[in-house]
Amino acid sequence: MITETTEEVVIVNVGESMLGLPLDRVHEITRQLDRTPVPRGGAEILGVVNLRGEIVTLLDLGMILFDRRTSDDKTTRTVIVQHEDERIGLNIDRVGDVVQFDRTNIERLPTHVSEAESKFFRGVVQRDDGLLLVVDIGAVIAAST
Amino acid sequence: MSGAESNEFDEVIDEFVIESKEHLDDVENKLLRIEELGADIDDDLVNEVFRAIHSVKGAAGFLGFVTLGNLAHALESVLDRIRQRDLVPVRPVVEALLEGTDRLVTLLGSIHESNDADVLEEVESLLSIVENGSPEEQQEREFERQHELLETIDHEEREGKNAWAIELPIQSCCMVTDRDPESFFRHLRKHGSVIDGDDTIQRFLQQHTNASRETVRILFATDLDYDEICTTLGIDDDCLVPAFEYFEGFAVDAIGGGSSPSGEASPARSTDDDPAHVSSPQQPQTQRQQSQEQQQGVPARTRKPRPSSQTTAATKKEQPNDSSVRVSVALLDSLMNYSGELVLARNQLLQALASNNTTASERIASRINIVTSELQEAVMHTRLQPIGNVFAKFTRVVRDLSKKLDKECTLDIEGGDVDLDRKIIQAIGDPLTHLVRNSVDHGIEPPKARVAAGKPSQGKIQLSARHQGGTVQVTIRDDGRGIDTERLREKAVEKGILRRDEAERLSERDACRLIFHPGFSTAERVTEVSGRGVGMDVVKSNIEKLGGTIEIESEVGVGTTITVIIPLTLAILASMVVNCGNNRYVIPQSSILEIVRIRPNQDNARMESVQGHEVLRLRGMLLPLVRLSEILGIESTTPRDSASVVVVESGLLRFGIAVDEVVDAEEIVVKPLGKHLKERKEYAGATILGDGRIGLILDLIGIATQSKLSVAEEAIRKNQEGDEEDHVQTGHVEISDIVLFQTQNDEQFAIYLGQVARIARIHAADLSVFDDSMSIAWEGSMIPAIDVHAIMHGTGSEPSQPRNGYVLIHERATGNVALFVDKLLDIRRECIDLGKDSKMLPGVCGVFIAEDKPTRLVEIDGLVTTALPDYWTRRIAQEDKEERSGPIRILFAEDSAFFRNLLVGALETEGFEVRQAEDGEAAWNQFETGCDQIDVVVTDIEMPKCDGLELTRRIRKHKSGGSIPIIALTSLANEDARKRGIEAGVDEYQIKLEKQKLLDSIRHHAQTRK
Repeated sequence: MITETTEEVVIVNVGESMLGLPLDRVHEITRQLDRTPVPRGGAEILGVVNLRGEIVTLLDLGMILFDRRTSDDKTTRTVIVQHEDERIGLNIDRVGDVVQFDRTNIERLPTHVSEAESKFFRGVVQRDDGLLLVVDIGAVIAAST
Repeated sequence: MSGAESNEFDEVIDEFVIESKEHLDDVENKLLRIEELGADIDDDLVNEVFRAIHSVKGAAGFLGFVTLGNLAHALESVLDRIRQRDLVPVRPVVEALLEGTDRLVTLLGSIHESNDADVLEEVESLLSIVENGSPEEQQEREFERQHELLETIDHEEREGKNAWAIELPIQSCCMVTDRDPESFFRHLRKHGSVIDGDDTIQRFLQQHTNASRETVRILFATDLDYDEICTTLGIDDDCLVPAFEYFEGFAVDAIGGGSSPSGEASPARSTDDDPAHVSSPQQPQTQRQQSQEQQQGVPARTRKPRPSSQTTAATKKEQPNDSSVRVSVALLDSLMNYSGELVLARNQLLQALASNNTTASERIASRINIVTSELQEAVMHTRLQPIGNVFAKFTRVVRDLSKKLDKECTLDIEGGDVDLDRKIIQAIGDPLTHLVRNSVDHGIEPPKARVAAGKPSQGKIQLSARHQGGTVQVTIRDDGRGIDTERLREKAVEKGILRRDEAERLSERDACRLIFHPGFSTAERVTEVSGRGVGMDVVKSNIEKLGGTIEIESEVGVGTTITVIIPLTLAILASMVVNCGNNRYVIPQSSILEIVRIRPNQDNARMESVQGHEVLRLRGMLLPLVRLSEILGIESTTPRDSASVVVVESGLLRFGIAVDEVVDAEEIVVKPLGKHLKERKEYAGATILGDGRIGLILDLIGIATQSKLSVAEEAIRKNQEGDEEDHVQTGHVEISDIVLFQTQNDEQFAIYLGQVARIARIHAADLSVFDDSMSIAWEGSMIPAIDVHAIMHGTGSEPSQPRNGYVLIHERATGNVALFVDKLLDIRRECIDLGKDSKMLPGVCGVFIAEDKPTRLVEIDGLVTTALPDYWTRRIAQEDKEERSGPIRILFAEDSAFFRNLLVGALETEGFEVRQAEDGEAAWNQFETGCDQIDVVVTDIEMPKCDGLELTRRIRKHKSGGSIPIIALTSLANEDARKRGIEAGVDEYQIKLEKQKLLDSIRHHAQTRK
């Protein structure tokens, strides 16, 4: 049942974590596109890809969040998100389902998690299959610029 | 009004607005020029401004914009007085005109609300000038008047009378003396004479209302003494003072005959809104205010420059540019042509493909290639605007700013006709404005300081633009105080931007560039004018965002020159694709000077090392060398001692970039990089290559900076100074695009690509020999074909043998020519170091080395003159004959500027020469003086002074006017009107605004007349 406080996220896996990406910012999810590396771009920038004529920067979400490289195999996917007036790609290990939950169920991160680590997340949601970290996409993009 | 009609009306209004703005665009500059000329009035200039305003007024009236019309009328009136030499356009006058014009532009910006606007201020200030002359003239008259008054007072006093300045509170006087105003004044006059203030009294009596608390101020001479006056007139003793006391502030010498007021300010002598007081001597500024008060009865206002109105005017001017653009019809025609050709070629291609005709397909494909390029270029041109549009407003900026800062500056503008893409024009407006304001604010010294330094008191700022390679260079040069690099270095150290040793090591040029560092402002106070140090660094980043560069050169005490270089096109870039480490990168071709392959053991192109920096020695020149693989931090796929080097020039730096492989030249579409990569210095964007892969576009400035090239440059310079023996001075090496070809016995030649319009492969059968000369069919006519081999070997007298080969077509208005060559080798950009040709063959400019062989550089004129000595002269004679028929000349009489402009534009686009007249009288004058230079007369019927029918009659009576075609334009299409016209002698009636019919009719009449 969708109410005003319903949040929809797509579940993705990065490393061992289960992340929720707010659907309103997700433009599309594709298999990996041919990428062109950008030397001297930075550790988090995997390169640029040709998305139907638009040149989109590809970021490694694993590197940004956890300082660990995202995989590069057949389950790897690219999540294209909308940020201001451009599209940006985020590479993830595996994609899961789209789920809904009530926004009020988002809890704060436990206090022992450091500021540096927690700035990318809006909070956690307890689910049957584990803890879902809800990502703040804006913060992710801003941090890597 | 139906939907369609109201749309049409809206369109008419839009056109009116756009045209009016164009009229007014130029008016500002012309007014400034008129001010410059001062008493030396340029009639043509004033008339131009007058007509511009007049047009706006007429059309505004026609469309019902009353306020606009009134304001325009006021402007017109002032201009009329100027052009009648009745008024000198001094600063305050021009100021009023400028403000009025500014207001007009603002009104045009919100045309539909214009009728509700209040233009009282501007109109009144203009009308007061019309009535009373310039404020200075007003002032002068005022002084004269006061001078007279004082003399009268003096006279009266000598006669034993007392002169008083009295402020009569009429209502209370009347009450006390129990009289009504009229009788009170009669009573007043019985006791003395009014020296000044009679007209005030009259006005009062006419307009007097009971509710008013008005006071009437007069100068009164009487026998009565102080107390007696008070009693008689019923006033308190603080209402009057002796007349001389009243004039106290007035310079004593004024009485003796001088005329200027002392600068002393008398304490506020009631500058309240009393319309009827004698103006008291005060500072010139308020003096002016008071004179205005006197004439207008409106509270005084200041006359400071209004930056807000200026900017609103400016921004309002900018608005229409955003949504639409004006394109010349000629350009549109060529667009139509090219797209037509493209369609044809496509159809041909489809056919050829369908019938499997590969040779035809190839040929057509190459035609499509050419047409597409030309189409693209034409489309790009539609977005081009002359940079003068941006420059125009700077004159005003400089003027207003100088006035504000008490400096004297002039602005010279050059190269206003340089074209730039519209987007770029919009984008550089702000940075350039900032730079110009900076020059005035920080560059030019105050007049006294300048004179003390031995400079003319007037500072000069030169603004110029020119095309250079694939860029536009804009230079702002001032002869001001220059940039004090010492102070900059100090500041840099103070702010912690550099360490002291770093600051000292900076070259002069790099020190100047400190200005661009964010947060770096050496102005002692933050001026509202140029703002804080947010200025220069923002300018730089704005310019670099456009892909441009900005350079500064300066000398303390002498001046500063700022050069902004902007690449011409934003969207499509001709470029070179290179390979480095298995990825493609792109270098803009406009920056590329040449491409060199370095092989070991090659003398003229070698890699060396100078003080630890790698350099390229190329034909004796030393250039800094950077390796792309090193800059990017990737692995190169080729060995170190051989490489392909792209020699580039960026800004003022020339250097070589070593890459793995040079792949191809391509025209690419520049796409922006996302925000994560935008700031990276090495890249200026990206593109999608032919195979779908992405190629990153290299930012040469960024690369130069990253590799600290300036340091390398210094090293080279120092090295070269000590390196004399090896110093092969190549001097001015020319880099040109050439066509390389060979003739029969493998002799090699080259010709400038610019002289070749087309190249075609031909068979022997395509050449025809006739009468000792060879020719070939080209685009429907036979043109001469010159056998280069034959010319070179002096066998031109014998007919050459037709053979297979190529023709290089040279196009010229006076006739096309084909150069026949045997083998086509290449088309390339080459570094030409021209030496003399000892054999002195015809048409040869010199010899150089290409492909390791001596190559003769030929040029077309020499070859043609040798082969066909009288070809050009024959053609020129023929052309002359054609030209004598020339364009059709029209005399056009129409009083409505709106309609006149509408039609004149259309006529001139058709290629007609139009002489305009705004009424029958003017048209008649033009006809009388130049009837043999007129082919057709087109006239309105309804016109002031002399209408169309009268004009027609006069022309017919004239001795040369009998047969000249006269076309009458009318909005009335009834039979009566037509009959009257025919009787008068009109040849044809056309309805106004049926453009095409009119054009056809004009042509028809012009032809039959011939």
